[in-house]
Amino acid sequence: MSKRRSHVLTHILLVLICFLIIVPIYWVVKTSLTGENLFNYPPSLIPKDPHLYFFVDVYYWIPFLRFFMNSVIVSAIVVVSNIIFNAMAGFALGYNFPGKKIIILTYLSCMMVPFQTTIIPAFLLTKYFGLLNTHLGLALPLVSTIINIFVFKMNFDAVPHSLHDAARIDGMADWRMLFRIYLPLARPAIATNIILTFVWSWNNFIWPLIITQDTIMRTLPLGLARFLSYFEDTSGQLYAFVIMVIAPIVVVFLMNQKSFISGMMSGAVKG
Amino acid sequence: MSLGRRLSDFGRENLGRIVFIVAVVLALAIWIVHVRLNDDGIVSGVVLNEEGEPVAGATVQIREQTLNLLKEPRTEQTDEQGRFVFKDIEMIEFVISAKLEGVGASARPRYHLYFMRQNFELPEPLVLKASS
Repeated sequence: MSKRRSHVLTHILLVLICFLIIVPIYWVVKTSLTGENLFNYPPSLIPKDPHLYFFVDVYYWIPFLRFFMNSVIVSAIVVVSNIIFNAMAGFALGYNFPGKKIIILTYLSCMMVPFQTTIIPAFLLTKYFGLLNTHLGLALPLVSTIINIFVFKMNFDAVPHSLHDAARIDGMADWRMLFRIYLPLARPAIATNIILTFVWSWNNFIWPLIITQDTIMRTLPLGLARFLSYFEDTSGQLYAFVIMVIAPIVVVFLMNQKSFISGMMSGAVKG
Repeated sequence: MSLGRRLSDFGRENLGRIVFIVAVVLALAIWIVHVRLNDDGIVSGVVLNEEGEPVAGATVQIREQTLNLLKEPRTEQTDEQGRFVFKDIEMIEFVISAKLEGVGASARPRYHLYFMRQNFELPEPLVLKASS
């Protein structure tokens, strides 16, 4: 009986937590459809006369499609390069070689350095390569991310070493071994890479702000900042814009969530 | 494993994703076709007097709702049936009104469109009232 009661209490608590998480999201969606001021009193829970005109305004008030395509191109470069480079790095870290510990320690210590402190050298390097104001330049700081290297390493460590040995006896080269054997077995790691790097790239604000000079090269978060110069921050257009910016992230996550969760868990119980 | 088998396995594993992507692409295609079929920029409607009769020769003014205050409004005259037609209208949100000396002026309703150059028939006639 007491076990049942504790189950009921747990579920009530979970429902309350779900409610607390869902309410702000619901409010954003509601405001984007009605334009009702956030500070209206008394607040109405049910949307009155919902319409999609605020989404239309977003589309026409800023070059939304251009910003959206910039974000898509930059995110695609980031996601593909992360999968390739991080897999290669994770695979290499599976071997024992002199200096491996130093490299891992360097990686770990680099993770503790905030990006803001490296902005000036990153900018100078990008300028040196002639990549200012380009999609590749926008993607450059995120083409490989350390945490995802470790996600791949953990996944590759879980692959039986006998597979590696069998491939080596058959004379398979390292790069073929990586792309034909290890990567197909590391789907959760790939999904984790896709989601994390996509979200980071999609939400990136400070780097695109620094290296883009032309309006047409800007990404969606910069569009949001520009949008705020037209509309006050409680307007329906702003909330519609927020929905349009986060929708692709939600879709990418929902399409990969199973693999993402197993990717994050892989290596957790490795003994 | 044969290519056919691989494709069928891929299809089975990713059915939900494939359905979602196809649905999104299909919805976009339908929307694009709809826009292309209705993007002549024609805004039309009828002007009536208080008795509900069509008013000929009334001046109808359409003004874009924009931050650009220098944009001039456009005007048209109604025909014998009280109808007016604006062509090549490139506005998303506008205010429209009508007036005729000696008869009166209409209210100034605001309309919002779903895309630029959308063909739009005013859902209600503009009614000229002496008091307005």
